[in-house]
Amino acid sequence: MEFAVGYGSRTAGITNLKSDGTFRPTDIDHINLLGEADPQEVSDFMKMVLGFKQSLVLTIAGKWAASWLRATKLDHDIAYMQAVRPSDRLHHVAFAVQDGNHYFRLSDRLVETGNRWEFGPGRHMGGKPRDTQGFGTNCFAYAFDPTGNRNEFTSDMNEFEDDESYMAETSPEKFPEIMNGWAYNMPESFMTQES
Amino acid sequence: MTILDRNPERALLACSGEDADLTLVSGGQSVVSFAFGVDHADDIEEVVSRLKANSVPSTVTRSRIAPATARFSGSACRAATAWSSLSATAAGPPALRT
Repeated sequence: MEFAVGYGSRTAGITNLKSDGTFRPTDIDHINLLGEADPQEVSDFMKMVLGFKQSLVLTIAGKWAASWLRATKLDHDIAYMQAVRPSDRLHHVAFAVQDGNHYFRLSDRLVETGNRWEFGPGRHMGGKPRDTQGFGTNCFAYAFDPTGNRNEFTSDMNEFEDDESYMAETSPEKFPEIMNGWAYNMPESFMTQES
Repeated sequence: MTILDRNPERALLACSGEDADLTLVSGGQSVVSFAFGVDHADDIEEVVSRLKANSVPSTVTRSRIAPATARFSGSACRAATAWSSLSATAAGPPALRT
């Protein structure tokens, strides 16, 4: 984990969302890490030592299964969950997308280059059921790159005031509904393929 | 994305502008490191101080090129010199002191 200063004209915490009609992503948005450590322990470190704020927590049988944290007002800048395979460290890196039309252009570009989405486009429903304005409700589309790393293309991430957070109990049976509120089409690979 | 620079060890890529968002390195899958942007060099010192207080090893480096493997949330600096960076890297598992 690195903290860096001195990158040209950019400003910390400000995501560029201007696609200028192109298909390319506009910025790096967030990262979803995996590991063997307890998500609650990792989250405590991020909050107490580095000043992050808790956004969404999903528990299974009362135990933290996944945690989303923010350093800005945006829903999440980092997410952490326990890896299926102990050696895996990355679920995905997320790039910012401007809007729905941007997804159309990205989708066409994937087709033109012989690629396909793994999952989506869709909208996460990680928070309160049927709430599209709450935590964990950003839009998504995932595609693998040639190395086998998963890349997310995300948009419509909500903003929250300083102390807001949301914790919900869930179960693996609910994952398809949580991961996409628009359709029950989550592939098995989404929960099993990591890097 | 735009390839800003490339050599046999790594390629620097940008979503937009002339600053690297992603560094690809040879060696396979997963992530080597990622970076949070901070506004000022003083913020680096604050991070290092907090890490030290919690017994988390860290190193501070100055580089002529963007060192990040992945940066997010528009990471960067207001008072920046192009292609010059100061960064602190935390290593090892978190050791909390509550």
